[in-house]
Amino acid sequence: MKKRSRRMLTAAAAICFILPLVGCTATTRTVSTDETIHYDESYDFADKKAIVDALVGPLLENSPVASHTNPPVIVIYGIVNLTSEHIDAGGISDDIREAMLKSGKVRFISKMQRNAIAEELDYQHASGMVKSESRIKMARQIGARYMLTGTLRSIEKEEPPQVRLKRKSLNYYSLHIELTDIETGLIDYADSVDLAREAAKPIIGW
Amino acid sequence: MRPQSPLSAGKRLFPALLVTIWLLAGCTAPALRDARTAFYADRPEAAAQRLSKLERPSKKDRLLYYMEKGLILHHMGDYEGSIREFLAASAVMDRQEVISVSRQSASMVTGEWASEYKGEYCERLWVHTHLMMNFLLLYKYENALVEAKQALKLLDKYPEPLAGDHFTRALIALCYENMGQLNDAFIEYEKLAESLDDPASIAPTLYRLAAAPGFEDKAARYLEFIPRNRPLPPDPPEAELVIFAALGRGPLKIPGNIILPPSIRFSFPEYRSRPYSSRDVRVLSDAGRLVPFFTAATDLDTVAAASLQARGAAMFAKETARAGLKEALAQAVERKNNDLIGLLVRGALFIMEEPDTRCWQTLPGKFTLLRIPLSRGTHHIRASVFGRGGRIIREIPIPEFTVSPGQRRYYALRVVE
Repeated sequence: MKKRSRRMLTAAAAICFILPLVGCTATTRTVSTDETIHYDESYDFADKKAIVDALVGPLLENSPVASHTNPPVIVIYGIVNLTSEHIDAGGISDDIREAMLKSGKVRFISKMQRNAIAEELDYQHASGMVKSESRIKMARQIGARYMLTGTLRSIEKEEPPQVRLKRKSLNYYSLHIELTDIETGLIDYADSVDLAREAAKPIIGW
Repeated sequence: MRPQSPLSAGKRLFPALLVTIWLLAGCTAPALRDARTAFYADRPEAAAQRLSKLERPSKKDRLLYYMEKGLILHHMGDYEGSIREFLAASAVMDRQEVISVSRQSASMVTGEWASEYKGEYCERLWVHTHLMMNFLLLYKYENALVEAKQALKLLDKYPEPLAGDHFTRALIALCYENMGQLNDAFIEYEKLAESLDDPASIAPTLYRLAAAPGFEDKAARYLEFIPRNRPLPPDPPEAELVIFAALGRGPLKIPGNIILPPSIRFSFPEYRSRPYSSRDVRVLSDAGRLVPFFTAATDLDTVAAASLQARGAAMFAKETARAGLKEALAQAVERKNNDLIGLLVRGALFIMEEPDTRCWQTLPGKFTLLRIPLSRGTHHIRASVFGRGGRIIREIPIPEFTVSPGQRRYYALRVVE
């Protein structure tokens, strides 16, 4: 009897020891970038993809850029992050630019590279290190016709305090973009895409 | 005759309690203690190094680890490094929203010190305050606004205990102003004015922001607070120097105890101010004193005490439950064991009833935000820190800088004396 209870005690102790270790095994897996995965209600990669997909198509089809026979030149002035999360808004504008470039319907100049281009031109012309015949000619850059700007906003709501085991929260994101004709200063096109997600987090955990 | 068994409850409980204490003690505390000592001995590099040596902070003290390290790096001018630590602290605070049953159960037998440190409401707010300062010092205005919104969430959640934090409210307003969201900035400045006894120090800014969109009644209201002898700032000021001044040492938590016979001990932490001599900061150029058009200050002692007091009722309820549970446990052991075992268990439970006096110890005692109007051009400016009786404690030369119209320059200073 004593032996049996001792064995049971040992088994119980072993289970208690092994159980917490089961969840500690490190695992990795490769996921498809097309797969939609949300761990919580906050902005993530899948949202960026959805936002870009929703905006680029109509921008190419319905905006004034569609009426040009020669692909017009656009400069992106960036997307301003006005949410309460640290979101890399530059990633959204990079993806928008890439998708539009791939369409072949527009061309881009880079605002971010302006200083670097000027520095390189200065080096070619002023340093005396570059062969004259291979120097890039000055004043040949192409001016942009349109300016693309955007604003990412969010509204967050949490369930008010009450007796419960889970707390629900709702995040609403809205990205608004504008295409401004630099020649006239008119906003020729505007569009927005909205995302809303509800998540429930446990209040009590182990 | 009491039943005696080799594996009686008391004999099993006593070593179990000792093992629990050992497991919960963790190894972060010595590193934190050494880093704090080095920081106040004016050796911030050694302080940061001591914390960096720690491969992984213990779970129960990791929030303090990130808070202390973030502040030390901020003081050293490593704003990127400081951001990294404070963002880690912010992530820990988010995860702490879930109440851990295991940790709470352990703390019911031992004490609050056994559970993961969650930070007082004010300490949680000051993580975002430091993040705002760091981002502003790096001219990352969008990120600063993100932190301003995080800070606002806490100010909205705990309005009363945090009402005295005028510095953070002023920073939030500045973050909105930087992003051109003047209406939001005005709302925050108004909330700040409401929490001040005399809003004269911020009235010029409120007047300017109210007058610009045509809020004439509000502009007239704030005009009344501007002293007649003080010129209105140009609209907007041509350029600006924004100084984040952190003076002195923040409060420490000390243990408080109430002991009832036979061995019931109620323990609770309370804040105690630490003395420091720095009182005020004045900014001077070669031409004389530069008068700020905006100042907002926070006394950290007051806000910390209010934060702790706001948790008072919850702390008292848990303390009472713990005292009851421990007494029941001690009586049960005494019934089933000999007197010595009972006494030992009672003693262990009594000793374990230590209040949780953990707190963010490198914080200053006072935050002051100074906004000084400047003309375009190059400036040679110094900050003088004054102590009691108008005695100059420290002269801090601000590195020469040039401002163009509409530009804001930021400078952070810390004096621990």
